[in-house]
Amino acid sequence: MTTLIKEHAVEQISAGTISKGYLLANRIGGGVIAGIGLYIIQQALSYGVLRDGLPADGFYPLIVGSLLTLLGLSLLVSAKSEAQERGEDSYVPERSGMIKLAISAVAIAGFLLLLQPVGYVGSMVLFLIVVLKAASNLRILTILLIAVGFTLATFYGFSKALGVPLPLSHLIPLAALGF
Amino acid sequence: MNPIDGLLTGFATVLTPGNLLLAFLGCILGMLVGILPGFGPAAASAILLPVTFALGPTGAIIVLAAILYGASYGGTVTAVLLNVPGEASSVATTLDGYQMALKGRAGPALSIAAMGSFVGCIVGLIGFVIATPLSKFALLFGPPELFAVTIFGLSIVTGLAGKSLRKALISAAIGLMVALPGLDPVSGAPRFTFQSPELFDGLSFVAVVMGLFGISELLSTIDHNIKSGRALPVGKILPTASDLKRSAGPIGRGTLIGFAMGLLPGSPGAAASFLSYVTEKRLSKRPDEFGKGAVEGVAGPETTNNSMAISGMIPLFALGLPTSATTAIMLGAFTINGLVPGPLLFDEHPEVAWAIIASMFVGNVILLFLNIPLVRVWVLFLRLPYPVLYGVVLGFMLLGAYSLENSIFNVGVMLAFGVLGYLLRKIDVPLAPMALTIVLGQLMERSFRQSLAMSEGSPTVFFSTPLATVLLIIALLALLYSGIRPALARRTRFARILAPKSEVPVPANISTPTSTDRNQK
Repeated sequence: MTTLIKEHAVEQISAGTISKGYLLANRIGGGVIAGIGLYIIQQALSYGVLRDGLPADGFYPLIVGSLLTLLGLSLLVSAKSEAQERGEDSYVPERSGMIKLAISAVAIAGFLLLLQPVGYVGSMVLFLIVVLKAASNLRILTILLIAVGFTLATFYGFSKALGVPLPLSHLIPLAALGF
Repeated sequence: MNPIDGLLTGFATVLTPGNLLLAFLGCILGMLVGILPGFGPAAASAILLPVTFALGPTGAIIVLAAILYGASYGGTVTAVLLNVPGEASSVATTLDGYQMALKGRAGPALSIAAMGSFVGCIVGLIGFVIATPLSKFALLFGPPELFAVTIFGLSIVTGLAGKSLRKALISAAIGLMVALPGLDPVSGAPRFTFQSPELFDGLSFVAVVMGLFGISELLSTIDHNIKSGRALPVGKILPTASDLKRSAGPIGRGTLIGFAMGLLPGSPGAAASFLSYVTEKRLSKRPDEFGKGAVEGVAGPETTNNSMAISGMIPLFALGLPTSATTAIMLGAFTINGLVPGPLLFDEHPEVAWAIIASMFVGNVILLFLNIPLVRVWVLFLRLPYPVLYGVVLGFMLLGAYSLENSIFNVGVMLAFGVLGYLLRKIDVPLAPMALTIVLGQLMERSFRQSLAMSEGSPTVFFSTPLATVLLIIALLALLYSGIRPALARRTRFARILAPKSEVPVPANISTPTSTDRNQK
């Protein structure tokens, strides 16, 4: 996907120049939205649209699905006119930024997988170490201090002060510490 | 007891060291919890309700009311500083509040929000005292009337559109889609749940908006090379004279909008603040500034939120009718303390009722004096290097989403909508219309189908009462005007281009577009 966008991207965004990558993104977005709309219509019909002359479970989803399909197709067809006005957030991500996003995604996945077995404290500390290391050029000691400080503060704040239970660890060292 | 005597008696009860301390503590606790991503007034009230058990009826309700508006302001802080709405009604504040923060004007944004909140609450309270009989108006709203209100809410969408109305409508339609999963509002059958029990209650609105606005903002910022310097510029703390002048009108109008909307049962808070935002945008002499840091875009919605929070208590106090999740929790607090809100509350326990109302006045004064100096503290967050803020805020949001229902599912919802929001930003689809229609969608469908069920399928039900007829006509006119307004604006611009040249000589280095130039585009 990144390669495709790079191949089609035009770097300068100036008056009268349409970014091909942006145009492609609009068309793909329109197509996906229309596809989702068609799926909703199909599901709506399976729920039933009318029952004894009154709107049934599928009536409202049918309207929503139809709207999505029409608007998605409209964007697909008219993407060129939409691409004339490009906003600030629509730039192509930088390579270094994409790497940070990918690392963040892995860190979040790791946090969710480790949350129950390792507990909140262990998984959040690990998560913060990975994310801060990827996103910043802070020293490892600073990162450790931030990770541990934030985690302990939120652990005690949520579980003790607010009474919001957080998962505890099944690992003996952390369990022995009450985490 | 007449209202003035009652209020004076109430002040005499509240202005004691013990009750003042309770109001102060309630404000602090509410703010601290409200600042946490995902925790709004309803969640803060629910979490902190046990704190009130040992306080007696007057003390308990004083603390709970203080928590309510303290949490409301806490949600504003995250909306302005982090683009993370703490609750549904803070979404509109993110549109311009965060933009002001990006320009180094977080201090004025928070200060104006505090002032607007204060005015909204105080005027709302005056209305509370005087207009309690208006609460009977709420009983006139049935499904046909509520349906008309939701149609009117749809007309707000065009006011939230940026350069592309088509993309705003796409955003709105996606919002209607997001409201589909769950149990059918009439039949109760599972719909779009994919056999997942977590989806039976639908998608958590708080998790969705945290993802759409908060996560997508974080992703949009980190995906390019950011310097390790300060997260955001830090400028002056207090608003300028121009800010105050520009905020006066929005604050006045926001008070009225919020007060009226708060009286409606089931009134969606986000819709009211969006209505205020769009109203200010349409009345402003600088509509192009909206979405880029217009102070009116903060003043109006914040005032509306707080005025609505107060007027939402009128049906509770006068009729025993909660109109929102927060007032439902307050009803619980009343019940726990042996009080029955409703018409008899002022007869059987006048000292309690008026003390609670007086405490709201006092609590809002406390909050104002607390918030203005605290703006300097909140703004300290902006001094953190952005990568640190990124990691810490992301961690907070994961925790906040998990804590909603102790469920990893909500974390997944937040992340999924974060990615969706990020991708939609890349193709310039605005997110605000989506937040509005997520709220309106379920209410619209439920009121529509209930209306037709009442009339056995006859569409005349929507015109069965004068109130329903008037509301629906106003709603349809508003929708029609919203639809043709962009076309009218284009026509006006086009007419200006074609208009005869003025008598003022045009400098030689400026050319006016010719038809040949336009055709070549």
